[in-house]
Amino acid sequence: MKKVGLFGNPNTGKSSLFNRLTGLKQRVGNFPGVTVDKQLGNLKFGNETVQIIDFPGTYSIYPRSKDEQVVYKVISNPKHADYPDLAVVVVDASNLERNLLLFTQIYDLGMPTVLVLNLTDVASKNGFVINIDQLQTHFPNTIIVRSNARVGLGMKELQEAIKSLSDSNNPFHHSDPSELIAMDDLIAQSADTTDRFDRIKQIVADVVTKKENPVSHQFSSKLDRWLVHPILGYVIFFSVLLIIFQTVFSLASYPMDWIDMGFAQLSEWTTAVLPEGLLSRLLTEGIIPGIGGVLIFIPQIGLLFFLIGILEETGYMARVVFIMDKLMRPFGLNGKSVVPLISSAACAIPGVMATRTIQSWNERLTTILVAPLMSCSARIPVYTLLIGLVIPDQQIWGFLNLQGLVLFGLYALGLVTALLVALVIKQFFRKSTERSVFLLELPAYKAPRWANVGLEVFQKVKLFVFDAGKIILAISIILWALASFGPSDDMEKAAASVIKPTTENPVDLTAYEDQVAAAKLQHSYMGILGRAIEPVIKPLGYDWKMGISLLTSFAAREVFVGSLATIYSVHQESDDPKPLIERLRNEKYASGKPVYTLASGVSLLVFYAFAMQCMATLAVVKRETKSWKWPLIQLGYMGVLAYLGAFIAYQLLK
Amino acid sequence: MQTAVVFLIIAAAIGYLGFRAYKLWFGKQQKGCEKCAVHKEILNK
Repeated sequence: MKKVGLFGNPNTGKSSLFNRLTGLKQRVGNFPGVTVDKQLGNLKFGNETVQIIDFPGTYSIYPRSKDEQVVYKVISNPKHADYPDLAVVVVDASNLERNLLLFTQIYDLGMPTVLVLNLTDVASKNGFVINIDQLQTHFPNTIIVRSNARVGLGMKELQEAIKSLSDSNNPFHHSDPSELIAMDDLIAQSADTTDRFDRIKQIVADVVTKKENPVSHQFSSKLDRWLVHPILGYVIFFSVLLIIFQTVFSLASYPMDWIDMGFAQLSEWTTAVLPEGLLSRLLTEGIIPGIGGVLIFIPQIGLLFFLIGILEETGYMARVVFIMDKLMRPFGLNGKSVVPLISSAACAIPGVMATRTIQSWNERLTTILVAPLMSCSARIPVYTLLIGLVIPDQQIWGFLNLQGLVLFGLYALGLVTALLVALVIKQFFRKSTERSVFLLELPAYKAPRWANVGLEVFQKVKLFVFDAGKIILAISIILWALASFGPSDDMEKAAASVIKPTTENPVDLTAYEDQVAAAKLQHSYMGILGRAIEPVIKPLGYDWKMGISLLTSFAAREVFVGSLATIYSVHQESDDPKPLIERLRNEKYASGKPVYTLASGVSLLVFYAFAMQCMATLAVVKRETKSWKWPLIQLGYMGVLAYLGAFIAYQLLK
Repeated sequence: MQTAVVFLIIAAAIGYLGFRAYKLWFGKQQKGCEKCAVHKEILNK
């Protein structure tokens, strides 16, 4: 199969183009370093198929970082498995001068090349007019295609160009990698780059004309005076975040209540329809609450990523990356650490993988070690359940919802702790003499494309439901089994020991049933395990049921909620099913004191803000650092931080 | 019969978690990357 290499500077719309050509749905973003994962796809012309390889974005063939080295290594070695038969070089039409450097380097090697002038809409909005015929005279051995990958413009022409060049009898000569300068010969590379830029300047002057004062450019510049302002920029950013969290809390609560009630009804209906027995109990006490515990958070996750998607589509996220860079510098996390950390606010896995763009090993390691402290989407179910449970739903200063404010505070806590830990690592453990350079071009503001926003929301929800959901379901089933069975007849004996209501002892029947359920649960396998770990978690204000949920959520944080849903369903009478939050609110110790108080709730929130409870992230850290040492250190320091933080929070608030 | 089905479901849940854990720690690279020599090279650095 013929191979087509997709090259280009970062943030030129390569991934959008890749998606258009291959029909795949690779993650795209309007700041560099987004693409670090799956980058292979096929393009079909009737019976013929060519393979498209999306290479990491680079400004020059001569590398400065590890991901950029890959381009050099592939291009310089025709025997490399990914050596392309032809190159498609994507350039930002609104910044030809910078983008043509990479193109001329590849073109001069003699490789069959297609030059794609992408982002033509931005170029024309910025007042640039490119004379394609004139450009063609400078590069006669290439096919030039004008495109706007965001809306699919120019894709047919590009496919035809690829098809014609992938024919074996194409008119262009074959490449000669021996013309490349050695990777370590920096002086020759620098001289070559200067020469090329001189040549490119003349070409650009010849082919590009610029209209004066384009409207969109003026608009973006005016807006940027506020949005990237050294002080106001942060105020605006934190206000935007606050509004997002307020909206998530106020709007998502309605569909969440419907889903919760729906599952309670389903449980009731299942009990009524199915004959009594173990299977019916597994369904109503294990599987249905387990699934319900996952699905209830769809509205919040969907809404959060919808709002973040709008920010990203408009170009605001690129500004956030810019202002965060300044904020992170004093903490030793500069330049290229910003994108991994911001990615970690969605999920630490792509965040850790995005650190591959960082040249300095010490900087990269520091970023990997602190990335999971950023509040990821898996924490949302835990945060929102606990906030709804222990934080009063009241307004502050008449317009701020306290629950939304606490959620914002938890995100801020994650960021501040990540920065402080990075500072400690930098000062005492791994001083970095090398500094990463981060180049970021701010895109012009645009109206969001709703299809892209919708796709992002769909993918995030799908990942949550089908990836985390399967694990939550499996753990719910196992928990149900552990809570339903116990050693020999201990459970029955414990239940029988509860004093039955008689005429002499007129105890409320519901209270009696609750006591029987509690006695059975305490003597189940889960109860035995829970009581064994209770001494360790008691100083944090947790009971054994929270302890079990804490243990199971070492697989993934969101399992905590599904586990609680299952634990509080087992042995409960199902004729009056209550939503989980209500059951937790009514949970009391034998002394009559509520289990979920402000102190224990905040302690749990702090624990989840710091604890490294994600097996998948640990596995990725092990893979990226090629050692067990770093994931274990990460698990250890985050565990200590979580335990101490939760302990202090509980002792202060109890 | 019900008991047998329940125990099968529990066994399947344990098996599934074991499989996921094995794949996570001892399996191949992240989805997609195992096919791509470019990214395998980055990972191997």
